Amino acid sequence: MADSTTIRARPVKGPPIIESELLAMIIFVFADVMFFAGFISAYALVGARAPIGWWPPPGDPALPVAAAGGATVALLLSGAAVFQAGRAAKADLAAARRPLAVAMALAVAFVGYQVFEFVRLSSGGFTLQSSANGGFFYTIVGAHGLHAVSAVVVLGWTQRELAAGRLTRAAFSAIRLYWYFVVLLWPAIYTTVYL
Amino acid sequence: MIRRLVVLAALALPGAANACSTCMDPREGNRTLLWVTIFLSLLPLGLLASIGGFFWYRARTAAAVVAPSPDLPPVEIR
Repeated sequence: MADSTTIRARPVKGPPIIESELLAMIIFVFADVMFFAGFISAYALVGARAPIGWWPPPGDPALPVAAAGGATVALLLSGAAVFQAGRAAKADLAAARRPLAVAMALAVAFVGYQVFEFVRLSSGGFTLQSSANGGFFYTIVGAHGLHAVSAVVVLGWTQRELAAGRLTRAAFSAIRLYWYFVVLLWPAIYTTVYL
Repeated sequence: MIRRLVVLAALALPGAANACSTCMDPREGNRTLLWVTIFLSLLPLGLLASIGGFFWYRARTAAAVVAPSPDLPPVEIR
C-alpha cells in the first residue's frame, strides 16, 4: 500500500502588485506632469508680472479660442473612446480595436488641427522668437503636440499588436494611462494659454 | 573684514540686498508667485500620495486573490 498525504492547496506567490510596464509608465507620467507644471507655472508667472495691459504683449495675435475649443472636445472624446476600449477589453482584448480606432481618428484630427494652427500663426509673424508669449506658446503647446503625435504612433502600434494577438494586458494598461495623461493635460494648457 | 562690512550693509539696507528677481512685482498685492510656489510644492506630494494609494489598493486586491480559502479542495499527493 502506497503512502499518501492530504494537504490543502495554498498559492505561495500571487500576481505582482503592479506590472513592470505600468510602473514604468507611472514614473514617466510623474516626470512629465512636473515638466508641464513647471512650464505652465512659468507662463502664469510671466503673465502675472507683466504691467497691466501688456500681456499678451501688444502685437501678438489673438489665439483662436473657439477653434482650439473644438479641438479640445475632439481630444476629450478620444479619451472617452480609450476609456471605452479599456472597458471592452475586460472581456476580450480584441474588442478594444474598434473604440481604439475611433480614438486614433480623433487624435489625428487634433494633431492635424495643431499643425494647421502652428502654420497659420507662424506665417502671420507669431513665432518662437517674436515674444515671450510666443516662446511659451510654441514650447508648451508644441511639447503637448509631440506627446499627442507619439501617442498616435503608439495607438497605431497597439492596433497592430491587437490584430496579431500579441498585446498584453499590462502593455494595454500602460498605453491607456499615457493617453489619459495626454488628454487630461490639454484642458489645463488650454485654460492657461488660450483663455 | 570686507565680508563683515557686506553683512552689516545688508542688515542696514535690506532692500538693496533683495536679489530675488522674481520677488519684485509691478502690481501691488499680486499673489501669483505665492500660488505658483504652493502649486509646485504640493503637486509632487499629491502625485506621490496618489501613486502610494494606487499601490496600496493593488496590494489589497492582490492579497485578496492569494488569500487561502478554507473551501479549497484537498489535494492528495502520493
